[in-house]
Amino acid sequence: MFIYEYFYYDIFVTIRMANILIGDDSSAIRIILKEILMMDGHNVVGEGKDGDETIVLYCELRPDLLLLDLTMPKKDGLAVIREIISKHPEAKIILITASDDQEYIQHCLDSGALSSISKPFSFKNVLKVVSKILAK
Amino acid sequence: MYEDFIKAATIEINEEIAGIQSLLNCCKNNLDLYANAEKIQKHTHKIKGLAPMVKKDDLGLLSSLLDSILKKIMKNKKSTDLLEIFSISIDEMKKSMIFNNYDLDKINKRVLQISSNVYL
Repeated sequence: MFIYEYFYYDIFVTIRMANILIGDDSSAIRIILKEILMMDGHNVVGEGKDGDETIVLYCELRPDLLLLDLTMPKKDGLAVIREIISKHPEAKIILITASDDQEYIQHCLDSGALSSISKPFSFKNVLKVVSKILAK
Repeated sequence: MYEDFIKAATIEINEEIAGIQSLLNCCKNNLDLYANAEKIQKHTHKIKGLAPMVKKDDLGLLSSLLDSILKKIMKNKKSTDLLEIFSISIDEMKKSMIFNNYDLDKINKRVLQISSNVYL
């Protein structure tokens, strides 16, 4: 993660520009997430279109953060989290989901995801949660 | 970029609706619908998340209500006339993607009522 610090009108500003991987089977969601993240100065290093591809890309790219859809072909979000965390326990993963199944979301959080964002999401909320998790 | 998102989202929603239609075409009765509930739910789940992001809130609500019925079916809950309401709903979904501001209020109320009558 590249940390960029500067003074802006006497305010000390710290921008954490992170390398972020997106795992979502919806190309529309990938497009809008990429746009939101780039607006905030982040670098989207890869896009996984299913669970298997997301795991492969994570291991290859070792991003600072993974934004992960829960419902994906080949491997669902929970399986992806378990596999990535078993290999990289330090991984920072945020769930993005339209699911209202709180029990399932809690399983994902217990398995190592650090936060969740509900679909439909707002730009503001995505950036708020990303920034909070990156600061950890 | 936002236009690219709208374009991609619209294509995806239409594909999900077509996916539901294709599955419903194979259903002759409620039992067939129950057998296909999990497959149909994958499509309603996608529409539920995407539709409100392209300002199709009513379509998002309809998908959410159908999604809820399908989850009940997947837990072995049953009701009568479900295939009929799914068939009507899919026609309404298609219209809402063709006509701007298409009113889904009536079907949403009907599906909500049916959803509360799905029983064990």
